[in-house]
Amino acid sequence: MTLSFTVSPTDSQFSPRIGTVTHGSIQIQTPGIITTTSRGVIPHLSLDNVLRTPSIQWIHVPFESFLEHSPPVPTLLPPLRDFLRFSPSKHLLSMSLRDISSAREMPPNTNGYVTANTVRGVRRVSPKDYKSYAELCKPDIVFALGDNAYPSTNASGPNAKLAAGMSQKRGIKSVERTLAWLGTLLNDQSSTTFVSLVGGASLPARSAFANGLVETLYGPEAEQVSPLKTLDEGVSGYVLELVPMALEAKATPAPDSFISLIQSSLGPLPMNKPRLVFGGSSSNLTGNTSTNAHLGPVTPQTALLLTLHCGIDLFDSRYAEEAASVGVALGFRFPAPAPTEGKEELVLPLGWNLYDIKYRMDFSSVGSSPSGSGWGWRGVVGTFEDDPKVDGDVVCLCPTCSPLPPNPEEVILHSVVDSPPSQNSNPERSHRHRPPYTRAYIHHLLHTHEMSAHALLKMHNLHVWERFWDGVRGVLSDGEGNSANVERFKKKVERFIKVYSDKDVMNEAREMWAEVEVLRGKGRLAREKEREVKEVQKKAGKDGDSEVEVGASLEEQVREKLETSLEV
Amino acid sequence: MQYEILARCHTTQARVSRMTLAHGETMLPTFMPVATQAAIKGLTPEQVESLGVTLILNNTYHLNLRPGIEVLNKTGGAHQFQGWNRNLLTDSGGFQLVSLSKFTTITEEGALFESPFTGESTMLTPEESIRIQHAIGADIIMQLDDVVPSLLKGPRVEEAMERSVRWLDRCIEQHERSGKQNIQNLFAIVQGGLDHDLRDRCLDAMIERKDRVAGYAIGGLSGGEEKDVFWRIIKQCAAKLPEDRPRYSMGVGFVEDLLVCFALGVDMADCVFPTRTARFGVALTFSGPLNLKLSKHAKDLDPIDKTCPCPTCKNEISRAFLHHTVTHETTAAHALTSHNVTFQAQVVGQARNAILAGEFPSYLKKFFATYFGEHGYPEWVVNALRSVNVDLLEGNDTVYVVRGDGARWEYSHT
Repeated sequence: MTLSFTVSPTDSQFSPRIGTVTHGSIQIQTPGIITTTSRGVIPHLSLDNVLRTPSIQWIHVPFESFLEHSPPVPTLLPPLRDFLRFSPSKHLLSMSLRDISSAREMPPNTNGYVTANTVRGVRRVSPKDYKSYAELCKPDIVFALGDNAYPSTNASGPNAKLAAGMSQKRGIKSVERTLAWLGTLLNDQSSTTFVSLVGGASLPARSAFANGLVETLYGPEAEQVSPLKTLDEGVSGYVLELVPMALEAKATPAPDSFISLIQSSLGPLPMNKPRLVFGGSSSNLTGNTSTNAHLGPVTPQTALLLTLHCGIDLFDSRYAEEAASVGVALGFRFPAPAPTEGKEELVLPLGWNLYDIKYRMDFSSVGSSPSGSGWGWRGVVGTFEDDPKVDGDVVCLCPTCSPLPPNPEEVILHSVVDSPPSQNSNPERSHRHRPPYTRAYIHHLLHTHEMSAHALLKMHNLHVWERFWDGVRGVLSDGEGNSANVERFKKKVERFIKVYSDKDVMNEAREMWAEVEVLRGKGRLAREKEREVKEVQKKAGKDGDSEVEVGASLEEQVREKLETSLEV
Repeated sequence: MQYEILARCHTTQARVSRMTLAHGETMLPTFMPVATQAAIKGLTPEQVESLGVTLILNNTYHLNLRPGIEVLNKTGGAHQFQGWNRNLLTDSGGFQLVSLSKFTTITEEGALFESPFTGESTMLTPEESIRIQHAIGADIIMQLDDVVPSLLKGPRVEEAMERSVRWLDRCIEQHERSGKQNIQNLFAIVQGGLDHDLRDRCLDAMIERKDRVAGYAIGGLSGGEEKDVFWRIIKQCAAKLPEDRPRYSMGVGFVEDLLVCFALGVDMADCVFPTRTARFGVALTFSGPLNLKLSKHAKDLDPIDKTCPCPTCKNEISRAFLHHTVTHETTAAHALTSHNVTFQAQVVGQARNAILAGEFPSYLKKFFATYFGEHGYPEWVVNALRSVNVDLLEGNDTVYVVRGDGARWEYSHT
């Protein structure tokens, strides 16, 4: 099966564009999303829940964790898809050696090998080894090895301090190596190959690499990849890794620097191949997260800017996934909801940190907006009869907001007298869907450290992330011609960035997650209570209201206060 | 509650029955997975339901602390709160008071304990336990009993047994006053420690109250007592309890214990074991537990059990892949929890089939031959089943019998 990519014609090389990636029966609309894996699984989602989540189509697998055994176990039961049990009719599988999001310091690569990380230590992988793994594993797409040298790893000894950035020499080496390794991979190879566009934060190095791809080859290099005339002929797509750019460009504020670096890579290259952006992860964030935020996951705002200015086709989903890991339910939409007539411009959160005590009694869908404001997401079925109607919120069909009862044929019957559940045991319920899982329930699950909190949030967040891109595609395909569409898209991007506050809900949630971790153990409830009381008193003080009763109705009062302050 | 016996084993005391509650039917004998904090660890209610589970357990003590009764009242009970549409059972909270809380003092009024929130002394009375369980809204609720450690001897055991009877009366009164007895069903808990006379007296007193209780639990066991004592108490209680009430053995989860209990006439059991052991990387199978953390599974490309209908096995996730992810990724815990819950349901479902078909004794023989095989049969299992006319060793000269609990386990040295 081959991969094909069709893309709408654009006026400029870097214009935003819409397209379709097709692989057999799988069709992925672009701009769209890629789901990443850890140790071969999509974190928090068991396989049955992966299959319940239609927004999961393109799955990317870093191979390095399998190097713990030699030979790597998936090579014993190839292809990789069968080992990981993803669906051939639903899931497109790509594979790289390293975890692209990682900024972990690694021993330097050499011409002969790349260093990879496993829980049992560092492994050296030669381009030949990698090629054999890829041939056995048969992913739909293999990412060629990239020599992404990080400043801290290539400089050692007395000169380390001098090499604050990547030296020009090192930059050239990285470009040459990656081109050579690509040649090895393309030698007599049938699988679909993507290449990471290297060159770090150096504009010349990046365009040198891209030029190297399209250059006509001669001599042994040409023989190696014959009948290809250039390396690029053997390449079906381009990978843009933000972490190496961010690591070198520490002083430069993202995402503007990303835009020029990506443009310099894409400049010499043909326009008809998919362009993928992979960002970092929050595990790269240490200390002051405001200074190294560009090592974190790609935010919706950055992704929009890269789409607008670089014509990116696919982004990883780490932002949505990590939000789920720290207890944040996403709630943004594209285009950003319009303000009610005569009202002020909206300022909206990207999501809600469900650790917050104010959700203790909130029985609405995890992504819904406050009553009547209509800028969020809600389940098909209203939560409870007495709940205020959430007018205007868009319906979210994820398994968290709009759970479907299990298909009766799929319910396991354990004996001959077992009968499948009747679908409508409750005659009052005319809906096929069940009421949503509520914020109050997820809040409870987070505070009791129940794993299902993250499964439920992840299914929702991936859905919101995919629907966000659906909104992007909608604006780009309105059909008034490319330049008009781009102009309209640009305005909507500007508005999105204005409306969605950059208050870091993720950071706040990460801190609260860590606090729950600290509070665990004996006497935890007492410690939590003490803290909650303190918080209430603090907030009460701020409001100039010192007569907060700390008693049974305490949470009620907090909630009221917060609700009124939330109203837009 | 509607309770109907569908079939009886002609040899043992086992029976198949249908229990119809407000949230549908549950076929007995059954095993109830435990959702302590309103969630089966890692699984969504849809996933649990698709495993064919029709009755789960929530813990009153935990739900009372978090999310709290105020939240449960507002959402209309624990079913709505956790999105669980099938049957639900709650315990009384008494057991956790003793096992989790410091400084619990039992008085005639109730259990006086230190609130984990405020450190203040708080009283859990039988009436309060029932009130909390009404707010939770489970289909089956349990009386508050005076729990003493299983191994305790002496006058305290007798006192606890007698108090449990008095507290049952207060629970019944409270339950009937509420007018909820048509929706929620109160079970009594037989106490009396490991003393057959005390158990007998407790049974007499509780059976007298039969018209006002929907079922009976056997409490005060699975607390480290010898298995040989355990089964004799179960047998004594099950034999005496009324035919037309379900019998629930609390805290029983190893499959060998389950099958013995069923053969002795027990209908229901619960335990955290299958779900907890899943999180430690252990998959339960008909040929014994598999510890997937062990490196011997690293290259094993077979699923846990090719014949298992659980999503993990049906999707053919290999032991090798589970080994790769277990204890690193939560999804491995989810996959093993799904499997273990299904395994327990398969064992008891096949027991129902065997009882219905009049083949329960041969099911027991076949099950134990596969499960214990060359590891030897625990003596207490052989004795317990002999007491209900099933001789596991009959016609089988090759197996041997081991003393002690004989629980099968896969350790790293095997």
